[in-house]
Amino acid sequence: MEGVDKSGVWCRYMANLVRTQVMLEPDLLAELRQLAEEKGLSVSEVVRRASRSLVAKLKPKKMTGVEFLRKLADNPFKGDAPSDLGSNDEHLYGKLAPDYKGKK
Amino acid sequence: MILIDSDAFTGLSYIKDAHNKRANRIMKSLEGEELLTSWQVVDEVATKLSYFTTKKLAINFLKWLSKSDIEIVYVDSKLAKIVVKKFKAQKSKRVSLTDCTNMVIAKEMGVKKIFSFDKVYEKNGFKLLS
Repeated sequence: MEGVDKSGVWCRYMANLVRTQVMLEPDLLAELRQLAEEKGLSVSEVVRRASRSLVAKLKPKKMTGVEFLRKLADNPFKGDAPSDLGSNDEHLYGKLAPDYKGKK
Repeated sequence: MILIDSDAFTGLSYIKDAHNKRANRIMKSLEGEELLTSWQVVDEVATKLSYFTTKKLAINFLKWLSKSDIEIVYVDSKLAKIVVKKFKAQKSKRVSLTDCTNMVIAKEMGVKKIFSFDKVYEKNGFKLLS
């Protein structure tokens, strides 16, 4: 669903918003209402924006691809395995693959 | 955007792998690049690591990958049909379905470079990192 908010900004509203109840201190609620009024937004929208911002801030950040590769490289297997493990698919699908019979 | 194949991941994960040093060198040149791989590659690497190194390393590979921003591309039925066509078109019987999946994903996503040591990609018009 789309529409124009109080400030005239074209917004896309999520059709599947879920009603919830939040307990707030009266002074915080008063500040939220004032802020919403000043910005031309609903209190709900202010709470949504603040929540999104907090979630983005607190959510664990993902490693970059290179950081992941470096983690692999920094923790390599140092035992004995075929030296062509990476390049030879026989180790996976062919005659060099481990025999499952009798093994757990 | 660069697609990573199984041998690159395995090369980095096993210190005695024939490609370990080259894989480490190439890795250092990837800073800032957008990286992706296919679910088929993830499957191969985790299985190989589990078979030949330790289950713990295989699980760490999966865990760390899920915490990284490397995109894992999953094949749907539409893409699978293109993969099968690609597989049929390969003259060598040594080209795996995973290789073909990677090539189709790369083509569909406009990826020209592949982090791999498998010459089959060059034969199919992709550039291998060196």
